[in-house]
Amino acid sequence: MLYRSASDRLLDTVNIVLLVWIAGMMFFPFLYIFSVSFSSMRDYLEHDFLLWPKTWVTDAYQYILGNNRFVRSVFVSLFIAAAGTLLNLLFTTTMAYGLSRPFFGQRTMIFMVLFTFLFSPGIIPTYLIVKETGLIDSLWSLIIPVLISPWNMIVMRQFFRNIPEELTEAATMDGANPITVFTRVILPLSKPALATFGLFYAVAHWNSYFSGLLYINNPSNWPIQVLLRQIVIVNDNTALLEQQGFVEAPPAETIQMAAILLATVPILVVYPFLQKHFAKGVMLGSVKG
Amino acid sequence: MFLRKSSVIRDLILISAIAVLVAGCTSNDGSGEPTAPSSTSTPTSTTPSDQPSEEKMHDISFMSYSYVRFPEPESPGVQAIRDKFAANVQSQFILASDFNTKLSVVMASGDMPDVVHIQSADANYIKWAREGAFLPLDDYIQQYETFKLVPDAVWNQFRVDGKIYSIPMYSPTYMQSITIRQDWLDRLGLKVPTSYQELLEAAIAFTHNDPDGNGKNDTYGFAMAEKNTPEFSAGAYWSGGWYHKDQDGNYIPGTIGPGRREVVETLSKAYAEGAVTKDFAVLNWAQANQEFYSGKAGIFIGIPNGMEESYYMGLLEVHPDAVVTSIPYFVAPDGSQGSLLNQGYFGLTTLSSKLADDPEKVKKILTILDYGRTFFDPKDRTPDNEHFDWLMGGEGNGYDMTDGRAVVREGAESIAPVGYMFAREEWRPWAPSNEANQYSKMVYKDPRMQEFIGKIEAMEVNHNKTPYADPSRGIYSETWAQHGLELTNYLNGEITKMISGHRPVSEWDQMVQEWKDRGGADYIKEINEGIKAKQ
Repeated sequence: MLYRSASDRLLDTVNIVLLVWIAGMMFFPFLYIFSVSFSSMRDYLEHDFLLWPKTWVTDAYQYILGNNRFVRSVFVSLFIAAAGTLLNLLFTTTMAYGLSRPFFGQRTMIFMVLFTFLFSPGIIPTYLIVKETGLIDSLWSLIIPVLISPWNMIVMRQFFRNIPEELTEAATMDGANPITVFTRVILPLSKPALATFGLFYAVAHWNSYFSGLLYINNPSNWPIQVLLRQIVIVNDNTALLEQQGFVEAPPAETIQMAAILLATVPILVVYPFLQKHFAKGVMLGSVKG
Repeated sequence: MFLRKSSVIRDLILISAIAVLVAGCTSNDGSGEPTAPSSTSTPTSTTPSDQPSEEKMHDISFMSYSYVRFPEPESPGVQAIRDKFAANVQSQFILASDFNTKLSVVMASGDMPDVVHIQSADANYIKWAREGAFLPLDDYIQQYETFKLVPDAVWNQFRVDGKIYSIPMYSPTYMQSITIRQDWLDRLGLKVPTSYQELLEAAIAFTHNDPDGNGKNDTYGFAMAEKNTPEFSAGAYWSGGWYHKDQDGNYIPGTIGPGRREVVETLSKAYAEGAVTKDFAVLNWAQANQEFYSGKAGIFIGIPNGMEESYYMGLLEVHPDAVVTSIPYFVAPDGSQGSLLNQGYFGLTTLSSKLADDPEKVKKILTILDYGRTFFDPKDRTPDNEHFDWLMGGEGNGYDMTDGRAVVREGAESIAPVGYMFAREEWRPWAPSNEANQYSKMVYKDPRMQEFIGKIEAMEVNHNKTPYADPSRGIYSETWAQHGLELTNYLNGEITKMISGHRPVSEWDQMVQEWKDRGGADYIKEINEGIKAKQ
């Protein structure tokens, strides 16, 4: 370790430079958004590229956080992401586990799942179902229609099938019923899968915007992405607008940036905590020789 | 190992229990919130005790699109309408770019709100009208002042099988006309062009004769962008409208007509002299604007409404002696002089056909709509005008008077009733004429900008002698719906080649033939059948 060859050091240097460069590419957009969101409009206009605010201005944040629509939307999205993800995992794992065990009619069941996966019904039939079940304007309309993603379910099932049969057998011999086996053996062993799909579901809920647009009529129940789209897109359109003698006061660039940042942070915060699960091995050491 | 108590499981169960609990609470909060536009809030506010309450309160659901302002569903504006008209407006405003998606779904589900805005008289609009989704309004248009003002040429654009299913929202009929740097013309001793030949000469002079007198060869004629925009049409004859007829007496689109050919020839000659933006084929619209307003190019376009004041001010900051003037419409070979009329409306208000059983409610909706689109002369847009003051939410509340002009306050969209009057998100009354709006004075702030726009307005008044209404408007063509983009792209591509000298303009007829073979002929046929059917 103490003694390293020149080529080793060269490799290290190249690696470090490359990785720092890539990390920078990922990081700079956020830094830019961050800086603009805290800058005054004047600074923003004067400098082509702001990497650090010249004068710290929190107007944009005051504007956004003072407007309770934004805060409300964040909570709507947080709720959907949290409750939705838990229910997603509950329904996905139970169905996947059921389908991973042999039983009569299993093939038909799997075919039916695959069928929904290949031929999705489209927007209008889905809307009709949501409407007829009275879910319009309810937050559940953003959760229930997407309870199980067939793709995730099938991958999960494959994962369960890879858990050695011996574990289940041993548990059954010791008197555990299928539910105990599932909750005490299978799920603890599936933490990496739960973390992965949990994150997939959570990100999907957080980013979902189209269902919010369609099913939620009351702006106070809009998920954050619907609101964000308004804040960010609206500014692009102002140039196209006719004017009728009134001063337009569109949200400044800084407001857009602040809104983007505030909406991105929650999901960024979740990543590092789940990330360790991806890296971990799955079955290591559960079955000995 | 499986018998060891797993804390993870317990945690998971605990978390899901909490989640369900939270879920219950939150959804209750959501539905029971006092701000929700629920019908429960109606009775409390309907009848202030000191007022006679003979009028029945109507709930009116309303779905609209918006670009900038998104009025809250419950607000002082909604309250004001309740008090004045005994109407409880339950509004939904959706970002314009997402609106059509949602509208299609809502319409397909058979759940149309009482009042719905439609962005344009497109295939969907015609389909829904034929399917009976909208209430026919022919009997009502003579009953309301602002509806009577709408000219027939406008109604005809969205009649379906002879019937009117919607009330249009106002937009002027101005089209873009050509503008030129007056100060450059003066310095070179040139006159304002009256034909494409003179325009070409001016453009070439701008390129070679140093019109800004800075001793550098840094100026040129036409500022252009991708897709051969702007059109630089000096009247209906040269426009993209259906003005010309072929030898069989059928209308043809202006894009393949003789007028367009003349423009392309002019631009092609100018390009060869370096008098057109060199890389126009890859410049976007903002960049073309920059070419002109930074003082590099001398010929561009203008329109009385909807110009960006900041651009012109930017030009004056860099070149304080810059003067831009409006080029009058040219006299066409057939003796006409005037522009194509723009469609003259922007968006449509439709009513659900379910209202047919409730004439009282229909009347109320139309009364509110009519009240909200009443035009006032610019000098009457003051707090003294009760009608205007009410629509705008009151002085000091919804708007302020600055320099004698009503300027809307920030956040006023929820205070001013005008946003909920079933017209547009802002006050866009039905003006008796284009000029009545006095855009130059009412829209722009700087006197120099007002002067510039004033010149365009004066040009419209003095030289738009034979304005032309495009007969193809509002006619649906299946071919165009399917291949329109492809046909347009083909034409744009070939014309770009012609302007930039990669294909001789003498091959124009060949190009037109190719275009027709690709589906253009069917398009022409369908539109002509439509025009005949309407007559």
